[in-house]
Amino acid sequence: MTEQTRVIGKPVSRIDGVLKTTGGAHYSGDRKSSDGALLHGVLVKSTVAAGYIAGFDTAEAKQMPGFVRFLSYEDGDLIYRIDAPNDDSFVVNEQRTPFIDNQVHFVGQHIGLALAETLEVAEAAAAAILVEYEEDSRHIALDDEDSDLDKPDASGTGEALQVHRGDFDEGLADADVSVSATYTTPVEHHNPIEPSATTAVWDGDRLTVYDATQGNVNDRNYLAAGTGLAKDQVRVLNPFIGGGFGCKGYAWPHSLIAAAAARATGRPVRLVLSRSDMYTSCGHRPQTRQSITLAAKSDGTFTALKHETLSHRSPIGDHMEPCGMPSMVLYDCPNLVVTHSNRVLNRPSPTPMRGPGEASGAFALESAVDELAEKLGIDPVELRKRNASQMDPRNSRPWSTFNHPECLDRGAERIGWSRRKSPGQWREGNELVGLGVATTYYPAYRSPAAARVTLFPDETAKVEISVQDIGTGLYTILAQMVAEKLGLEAADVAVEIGDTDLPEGPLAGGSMTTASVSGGVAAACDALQEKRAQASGDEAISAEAGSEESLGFGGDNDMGKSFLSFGAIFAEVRVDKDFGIVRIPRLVGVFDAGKILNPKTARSQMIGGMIFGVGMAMLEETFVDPESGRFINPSLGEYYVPVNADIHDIDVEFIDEPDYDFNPFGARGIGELGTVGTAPAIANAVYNATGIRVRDLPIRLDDLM
Amino acid sequence: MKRTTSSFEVNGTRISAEFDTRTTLLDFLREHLDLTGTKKGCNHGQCGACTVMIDGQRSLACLTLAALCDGRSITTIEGLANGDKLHPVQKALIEHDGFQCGYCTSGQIMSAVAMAKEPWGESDDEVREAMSGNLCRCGAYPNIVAAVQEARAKIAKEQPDA
Repeated sequence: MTEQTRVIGKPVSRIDGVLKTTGGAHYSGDRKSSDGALLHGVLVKSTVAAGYIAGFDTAEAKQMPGFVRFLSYEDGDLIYRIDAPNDDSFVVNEQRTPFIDNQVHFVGQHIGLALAETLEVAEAAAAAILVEYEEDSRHIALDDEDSDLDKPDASGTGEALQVHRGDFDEGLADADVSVSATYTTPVEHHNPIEPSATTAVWDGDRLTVYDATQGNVNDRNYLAAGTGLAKDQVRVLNPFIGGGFGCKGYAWPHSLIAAAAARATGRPVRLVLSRSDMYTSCGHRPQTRQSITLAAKSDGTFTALKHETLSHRSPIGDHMEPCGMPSMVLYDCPNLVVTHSNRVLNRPSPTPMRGPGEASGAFALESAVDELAEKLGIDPVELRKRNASQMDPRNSRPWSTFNHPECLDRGAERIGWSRRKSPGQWREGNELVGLGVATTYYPAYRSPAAARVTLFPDETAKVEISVQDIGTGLYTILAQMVAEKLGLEAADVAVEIGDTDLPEGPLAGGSMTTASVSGGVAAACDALQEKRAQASGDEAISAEAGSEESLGFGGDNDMGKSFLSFGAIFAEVRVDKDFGIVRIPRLVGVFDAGKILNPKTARSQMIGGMIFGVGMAMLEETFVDPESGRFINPSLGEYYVPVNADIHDIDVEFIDEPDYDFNPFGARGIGELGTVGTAPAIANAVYNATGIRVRDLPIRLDDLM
Repeated sequence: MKRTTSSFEVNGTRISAEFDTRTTLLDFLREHLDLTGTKKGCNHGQCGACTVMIDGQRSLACLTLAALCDGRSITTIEGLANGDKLHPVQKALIEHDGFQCGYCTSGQIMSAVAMAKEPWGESDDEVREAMSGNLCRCGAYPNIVAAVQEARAKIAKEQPDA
């Protein structure tokens, strides 16, 4: 494709905009119940962190008119034993088959499902079911040394997690200046406004599931395994998903519980998770404690970097937050140590959350870079530029495009970096003003994807792929891609996604959907154009093709290049000097993410990503009761996410250099890039404003008083 | 389980129904009337996704018992457009890309439509404050503010006395 594009790169408004603004977009919990047959399910969750269920008392629930049935491990063969992770057809972050036995591993584990004719009765019944436990000793604290500690070799995306490069001690000895500090990030929850919801309908030996999932193909394969069906007997539909941010990425037990309940009762079952269910049912960003030592010559040249992470997983989960990843790729440093340890705790299972490892890791690394800059007396923008990795430090390959220094320069100009003063020196009235910077980045991933494209005699087209639009704008992007390739307008292209009966595409995670579907859509359009040349024009013509290409996982490929997006985030903060209240009047993000296919939706996604980072920096924390292992604040009233009044001017600029080596449309993913560097940019600005270095997120009033 | 009977108007249509006394207006709209445009995000009045108008005032349907709506008039997202003609807030939201996943959008729109008739000042900060009861986890806030400002100006021009 040439760089001259007609539809790609234009700010097309979302083609699903009317549906989403009129209530016409149907999400998984919106399936109609007009035939009256639908049963409502409500989960019963464990209230202890470790032990065994000794029995259920369902007497009160059973007396309620409209109560239908209670399901639990006592129903035996309700669910097929899933041999994950040995079954490579799907990915889960919680390996245990739901209801497989009476063991309890954490507070909030699903131990039963109350089914009733109405939601009101199901809720009342679930609340009335009494559970008796035999409690076991539990491990709750990150430093509980009696619990197991893993040192996993590789991350979920295949990245090495225990890395030694050069000689760290020698590098440290060579340095003129060094900083050592420990940084912590708390448990955070995705909190999409749509809670996960599953509606399961059986028709003979076929199962149809309307599921709020970021990965319908993955979900289908999980459901097939758990119901003992073949994949083609299961259909997952998810035309609209109310946000995910990772918690709907991999498959989770509640989907399978709903499917099994529908089979057991012979009725369609709807299970909508409550907001508090969302805190223990589908993952969270785990707590991390990261120790960093960063050393440099007096001219700023990095000589040694050590980044050690302690995090946690559940006894039945396997997620490891790969915080050391930014330390492996952002800067040239000849002597590097990266380690990761995972404590096994009786707490719910973590999972990726927007920028998993990158965001939590960048907070530590980019704070440390700022601390070192201060100690060296070198401008933090300059220090980053001086050490920016010109090639991929993991394998000495060139980056496919490289604009890290330019992003820093442009951002500095846009925020007015030259106004920056020494820490605590910029006062306006009662406010202390500060500017901060951090590098942001996200690896570029690409997965196999197929697509079917049909051209109709009236010169309209249709594209079909089993992918999902979690709010990124994929509907619109797909229409633009097909329109560009076939010489149509975006409005002439119908997009059908969110249905596993369509050609298979990737999971919406790792910022990879757009890059992945590019290959399949381009191939299908090319195949269609060949047919079109020979067609009469009187009949619809259709072509299906796919791309098997997988790129970026483990950083390895045979193209001799590395694919990664860089950017820079700048923050201006104003801190009330008496009360410590932090306001963020302006954030600037400059991003090099390849070709921007739709600047309107892309800008929105970057703004949203940066707001996610504002939450991480200033507000978000799920508290864990150290005694019981319970999450203390599982609600949107007590877990704070940014509200409209928290957000002011957010300025986004794209470098917009196409990366045609990565895919035919030249785009790299943008879903996580805005989030990664935002928290450290804000923390660094807070330091610049106040002279107070906050190393534990979120930043609180009392840190600054 | 106690049941009750109520009559009210939903999007201009008179409804009379018998239901469980525990039924919230949100569940009534969604489960009994299949008006699923109004969303359940938290069921605790903390997210704003269920915002509807009761007698023209924005209200949280999850914190309102359906039985207490007897004799009142309810407007949901489905009742906002005039046929194919979108309300200025709906139109402005599409133009300014004021949503991503779309799940909080019905509540944002109902809140914005109601707020246009409330005594707020003209600045962006007033809009931010007035719209802070509606969470958007995708982070469309700046675009929502731009859309609300454009729609408010348009509404004021079309209905100077409203």
